[in-house]
Amino acid sequence: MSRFKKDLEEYAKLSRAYPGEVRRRKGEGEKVVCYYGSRVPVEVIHASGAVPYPLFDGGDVGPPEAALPYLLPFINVQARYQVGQHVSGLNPIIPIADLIIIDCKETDLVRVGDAFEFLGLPVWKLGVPQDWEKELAFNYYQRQLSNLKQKLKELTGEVVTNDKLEQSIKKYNRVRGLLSQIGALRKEHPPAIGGEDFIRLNHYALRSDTDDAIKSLERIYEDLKQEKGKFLEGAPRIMIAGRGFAFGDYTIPRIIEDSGGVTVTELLDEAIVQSGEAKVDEDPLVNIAQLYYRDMVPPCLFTPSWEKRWERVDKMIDEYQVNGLLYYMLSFDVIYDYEYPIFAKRANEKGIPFEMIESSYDFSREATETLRTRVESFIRICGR
Amino acid sequence: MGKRDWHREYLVKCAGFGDPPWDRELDDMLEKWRRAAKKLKLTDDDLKYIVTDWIPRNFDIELEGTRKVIGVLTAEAIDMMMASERKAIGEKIVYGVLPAHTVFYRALKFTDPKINVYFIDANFVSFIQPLFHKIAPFLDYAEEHGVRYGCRHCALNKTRYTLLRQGIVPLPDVSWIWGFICDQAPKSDEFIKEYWNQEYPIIYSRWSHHGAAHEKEYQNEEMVKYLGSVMREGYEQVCKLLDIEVDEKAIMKALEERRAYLIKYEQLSQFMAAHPPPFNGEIPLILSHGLWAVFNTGYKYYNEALEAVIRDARERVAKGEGIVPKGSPSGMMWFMPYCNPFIMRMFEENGVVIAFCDALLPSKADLEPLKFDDPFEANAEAFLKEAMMTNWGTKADLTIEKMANYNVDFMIWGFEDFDRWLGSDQKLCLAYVERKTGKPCFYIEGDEWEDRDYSEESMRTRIETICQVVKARLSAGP
Repeated sequence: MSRFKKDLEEYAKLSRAYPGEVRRRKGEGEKVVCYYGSRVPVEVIHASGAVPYPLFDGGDVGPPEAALPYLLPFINVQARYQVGQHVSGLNPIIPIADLIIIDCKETDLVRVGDAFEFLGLPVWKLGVPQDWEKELAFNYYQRQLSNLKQKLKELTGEVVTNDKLEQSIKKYNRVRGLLSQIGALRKEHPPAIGGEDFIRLNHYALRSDTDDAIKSLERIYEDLKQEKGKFLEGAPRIMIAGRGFAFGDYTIPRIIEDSGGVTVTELLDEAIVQSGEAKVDEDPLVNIAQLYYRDMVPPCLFTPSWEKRWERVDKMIDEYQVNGLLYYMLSFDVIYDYEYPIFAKRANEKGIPFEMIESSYDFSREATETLRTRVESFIRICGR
Repeated sequence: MGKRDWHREYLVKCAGFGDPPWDRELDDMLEKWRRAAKKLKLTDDDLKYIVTDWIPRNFDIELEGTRKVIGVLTAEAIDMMMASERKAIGEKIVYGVLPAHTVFYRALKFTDPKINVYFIDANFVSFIQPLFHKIAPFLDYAEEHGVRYGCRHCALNKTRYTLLRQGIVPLPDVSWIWGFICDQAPKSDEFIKEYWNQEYPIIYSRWSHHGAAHEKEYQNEEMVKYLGSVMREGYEQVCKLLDIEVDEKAIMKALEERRAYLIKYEQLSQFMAAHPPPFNGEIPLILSHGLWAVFNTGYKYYNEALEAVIRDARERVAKGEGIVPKGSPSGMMWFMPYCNPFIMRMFEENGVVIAFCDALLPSKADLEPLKFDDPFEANAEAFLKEAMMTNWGTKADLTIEKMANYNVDFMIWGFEDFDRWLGSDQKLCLAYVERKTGKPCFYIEGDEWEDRDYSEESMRTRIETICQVVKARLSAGP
C-alpha cells in the first residue's frame, strides 16, 4: 500500500469516528450545530465554540422513500434523503443537535428545514438572497450572518469575537488551500489522485476536526507529490458537474475510474469544500460574506448564474485538459435539470463530449449496471 | 341554412359579448378574436366543440357572471395576441409571472399608457386550458426544446417558453421576474436566455424564504424593509429600461385600485360562505387573478364581471339555491385545479362542492390596513401577508382561520406536485390542520394546469372516495 493510500485510510478512520466524537463532546456539554447547504459559513459556527456537523448524506434509496409522508415525491432526492434519514433513525447527530442551520438559497433546502421544524427539531433558517450580483442582496446576507452570530451566542453563551473569527478563517483557509493544491495535482498526466479519492477527501475534511483535517491533508499533499498514481497514461480525463456527491455516494466516480477514465476536476455545489480564501484583516464577518456570497463560484440556484458557471467549466476544461464533461443529476432536481441542457449545448459548441447521468440513489445491481454501461460508453467516446 | 359562425357564437353565448354593455364592442372584438384564434391555430371545429359541448358541460353559462368571467379571459388573450403588432409600432412590452401583485405593473401603465404589461404564463394558460382544453401542444413543444418532461417542470413556465419561442408573443422590452415565491420562474427566464440564446433585458427580483414556522413575516421589519428595497430596486431598473420616471403617485394609485378590487372581492367571498354556496369556487378563483396577474386590459372587464358574479351570487343565496342541495358538504382546496374544470364537476356529481381556493382567498390580515407608508414597503408588507409567500406554519394557520371564517367542512391539498414551493409543504400543512381542526383533510396528487397525467376516470375514483368519507364524517357529527 502506498503512503498516500495509507494516509488516506488513516484520515478515513478519523472522519468515520467524527460522529462519535461529536456525541462525546455533546456529552461533555458542548453544543452541536448541524448545517445543510453550502452558504452556511462553518467558520462562524466554529468560532462560537459549537461543534459543526454538515448534513448531506445520500446514496441509498430507502430514506427518500421514508420522507414521503412529509415531502413531495418531486422534491429532489437529496433533500428527501435528509428528512427520511432522520425519521428512519439513521442519522446519529440530528437527534442530538442543539441547532440545525438551513441555507435558504433554494426552496428544496427550505423544505428540509420545514420538515425538521414540523418534527420538532431546533431549526434556524439563514436567508440567502439568490440575486447575488446586487449590492443590497449582499448587504442582506451580511446582516443574516450577524443574526447567525447572535443566534450562536444565545446558544453557546460565547461571544463570537473578531479574534475568534479570524482564527477560524485561518484554519478553514488552510483546509481550502490544501484541497485546492491537492485538486490541482490532477493537472498532471496521469494524475496521482482521481475523482473518487478527491471527493472522499473533501467529505473527510467536512466531517472532521479542523486541526485533524489540516494535519491529514498536509500529509496527503506531500504523499501525492511523490505518488505515481494508478491511472494509465492517456486515460480519458473527465470533468463532473452537478449539485454534488453525498457522503456515501461514490458509485459514479468509482465507475468512471473502473471504466478506464479519471475525474480530474469538478464543478459541484454541495458536499465539497469550495475553493477560495477569506481575507483576515478588517471585519472578518464581512470577509466571510465576501467569500461565501461573491467569491465562490455561484451555485446553480443563484440568479443569474449559468453564464458565470459555464465560464468556470470552460476554463477548467482547458486548464485540466478535459476530454469529456459528465453531468451528475439527482432525480427531480428541477433547476439543475435546466442547467444540464445548457451545459450540453455549450459542451457541444466547444467540441467536448457530454453525458448526463441521473440518480435516484438507487444503486441496486440492476440500476448500477445500467449506469455502468452508459458511463463505459461515454469514457470510450472521450478516449477517441 | 347558412354556415354557423362559431367564433361569433363563442363571444356571444359563452364570453359575455352578447350582454350589455359589452355587446357594443362585439363587432370590434369579433374581428380581433378571429385574428387571435388564427394565431393560436384554433379551428372552426375547435370552436364548435367548445361552444356546443366543453363550455356548457363545464361552466354554468346560464349565469351572466360566468359568461363575463370567460369574457375577461378572452379579452386578455385577444389583447396578448396583439402584442407583436403593438411592439411593431413602437409600444413597449413588459412581462411578469404569476404570482405577483399587480400594483407595479399597473403603475407602469398609469405612467405611460403605451406600455403594455402581460403575464403570458397564467393569463394565457387560464384561457387556453379551461376554455379550450388545449395546453398540451404548448407543453409538448417546450419538452421537445430542452425542458424535460420527466423532471416535472411547471406548466406555466413551459407555456411561456413556447409562446416566446414560437413567436406567438414578442420578446419583451423587459421581463421583470418576481422570484419571490419559487425558484423556477426566474430560472426559467435565465434558461430561455441561455438555452435559446435570446437577448432581452431580464430583471430578477428574488426572495429567500427564511421565516420560521408560524412567524408572521409581514410583522418582521427587517424582512419588510428588505423586500421593499428589492421591489424598489427592480422597479427602478424597469423604469430606466423603459425610459420613464419612477412615479410614486402612480404606484399609490395602483395600490388603491388593487385594494378597492380586493374589498369588492371580499363581498363575493361572503356569499360563497353560504350553505349551499351559489356556485363552486372556480369562477371566484379566476376573478382573484385580478389581484395576482396583471391584465393589459386592466380592471375594466374585471370590475364588470365581478359585479355580475356578485349579482348572480346574491340572487341565488337569497333564494336559498346553490350548486348542490342544501345540507351538502362544502369544502376548500388549497389550490383548485380550475384549468381542468371536470374535476369540480365530479365533486358536484357526488353531492359535494368545493367553494374556495385557499391560496388566493384573502385572509383577515389581507383586509387590514397596511402599516408601512413607503409604497414599496407597503407592497412588501402586503405581499408577505400572502399564504403563497409565507412559511408552512403560518400557511397552515391561515387555512385554519379561513376554514372557520368561511364555514368550511373539509379541506383538500394537492394538484401542485410539480411546484417545489407552493406544493412542497402541503403534507406538513395537512397533518397540522387535521390535528388542529379535527376536520377531514385530504391530499390528491396531480397538476392544476394540465391533465396529461390523469384522466377523468382515474380522478373519479379518488373523488368519489373523498366525497363518501366527507359525508360519513359529517353525518357522524363532531
